[in-house]
Amino acid sequence: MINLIRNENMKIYRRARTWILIALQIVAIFVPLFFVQFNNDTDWRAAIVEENNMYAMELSESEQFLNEEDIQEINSRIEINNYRLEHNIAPESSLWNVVMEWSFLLQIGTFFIVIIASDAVASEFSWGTAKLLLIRPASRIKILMSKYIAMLLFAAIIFLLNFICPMLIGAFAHGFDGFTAMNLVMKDGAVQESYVVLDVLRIYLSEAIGTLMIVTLAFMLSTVFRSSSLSITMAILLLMFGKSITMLLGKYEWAKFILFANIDLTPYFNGGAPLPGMTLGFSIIMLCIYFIVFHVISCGVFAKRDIA
Amino acid sequence: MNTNGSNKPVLSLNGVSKVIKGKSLVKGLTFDVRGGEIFGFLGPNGAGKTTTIRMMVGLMSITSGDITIEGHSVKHHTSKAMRHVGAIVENPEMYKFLTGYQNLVHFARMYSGITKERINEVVALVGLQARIHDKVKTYSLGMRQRLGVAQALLHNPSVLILDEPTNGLDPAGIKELRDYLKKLAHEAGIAVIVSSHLLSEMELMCDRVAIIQHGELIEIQEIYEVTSEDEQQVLFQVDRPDEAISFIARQGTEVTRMEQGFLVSLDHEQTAVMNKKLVDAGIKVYGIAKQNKSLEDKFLEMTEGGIL
Repeated sequence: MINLIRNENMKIYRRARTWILIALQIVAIFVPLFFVQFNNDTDWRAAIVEENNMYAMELSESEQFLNEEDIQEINSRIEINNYRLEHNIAPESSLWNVVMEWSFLLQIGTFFIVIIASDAVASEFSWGTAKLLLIRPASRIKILMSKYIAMLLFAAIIFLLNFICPMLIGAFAHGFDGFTAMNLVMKDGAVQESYVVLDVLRIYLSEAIGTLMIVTLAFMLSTVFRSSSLSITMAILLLMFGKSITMLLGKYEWAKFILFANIDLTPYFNGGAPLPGMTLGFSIIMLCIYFIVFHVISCGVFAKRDIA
Repeated sequence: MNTNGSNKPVLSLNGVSKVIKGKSLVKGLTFDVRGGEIFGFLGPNGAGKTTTIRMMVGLMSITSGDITIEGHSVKHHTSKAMRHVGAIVENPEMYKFLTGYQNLVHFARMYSGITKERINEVVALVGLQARIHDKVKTYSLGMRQRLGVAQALLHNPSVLILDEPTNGLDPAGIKELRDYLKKLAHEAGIAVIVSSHLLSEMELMCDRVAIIQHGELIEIQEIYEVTSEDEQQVLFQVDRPDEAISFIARQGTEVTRMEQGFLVSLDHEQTAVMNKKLVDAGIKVYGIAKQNKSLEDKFLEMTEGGIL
């Protein structure tokens, strides 16, 4: 099995394309540096007041373009800012704040991992190498699983890059201390303090779970349809519109069983739920069921298929 | 025929059938292939050759019956059976972005106990030392074919299976491959199975040829190498056939009238003597051609005659 994984790694990292993806990810991580200022010398009160004015204007001017979720998000930001002014709590800047601000780049990373996952099985068929790969003593299930594990290793690299690079940027800007930095969040309808480092870990954990589900789906699509482009397209479309589709279907009772209603666990961390009546336990069970189903389908199809 | 073969069956088909979507592609094939022989698998396109070969190497499932390789059932103990099989199915498609050597390392890792020395040995065997560290995308078709043979021999298989091995090779490449396969079978005692729809190729390469048509075994024919002492049908083309036939018949030799001339059964020496006699008798000899067409006759008989 170790040897099979080494084979898959060789097939991933001996291709120029993989390194282009990794390079793109690193570039993407450093791009925001050109737009962000790290100096804290300005008057934070004035800045917050200005920010709140901007939010208020956004709410009044473009209310018809915003959905309920956006309005809620803006309102809670205003409320947090007011809390800061009232209690005289200046926004802290630590390396963890930087890591948190940078976490949106994980979505680009997810896209790159989807590309690798969609290609793992499909490329063996488009290259015609499946015929030489599957006449060996190694069972097909083992070969498939080594491809899956190699893909997860690539995912781990992308996640580590997205964690370590912003950390270095943050450390460079604010120093390495900052484990006790606090952040204000809206939770259960009230402003509360929380450790930034814990928030960061929660964000990365829920992103990791979401990514795991998407790439497992892409891996299954690639195994079933043997087409990497189809699999990439479907996975990305679902990634982009899955949430909106869930919202559209939200009025139906069965909507909570949709993968995309459960894939983002962050609402639970803020004391809410993606759809009314859902719990964290329910979502975790649903995700486990989807995960197992995806694997059963890809293994079943891959093991039984006649290679023509 | 065989010089060194152990003559025990290495690969056996026992009532092997394949049904895809209610269509019977292979119908109850039963035959043995022995160590040290080159076994040809001859039939027109679509006769079921490729399907049968894919069942032998585990790429396709066996609907009924079973194939055993070195005593291991392909159906039930696929891994153990595949340990003894080396194969090139259709063109040897390799990972083009890897070097030839990396490709061999890749396949070597799928077996236990293949050393670096063994890889180098196989590289030398197929004469690829000079280019083995170049990327496969720079290889000519002939070199890819040789790399294909190398990957098939890495693990010292007792059966070597080649599906249409001469497709796309130039005459020199075909001769090289043919000599090489003969060496493998007759000196190393490997059972070599080749499929082809080209009769002439099979006659030059194989010790035995199984003719299949519509998924059924028509017959298995031994191919003898013709030596100068063997009598063969010789076709004479002359200016006055009737006179020549009665001339020969008078000497007590059996002669058959043909459209183009007449056939006499003669060995090497006798052919020259007969020619001289005819010339001395004042008959003009336009052509002398050895006829060894028993296999071709059978093949044509079954492929013409409206069966196709």
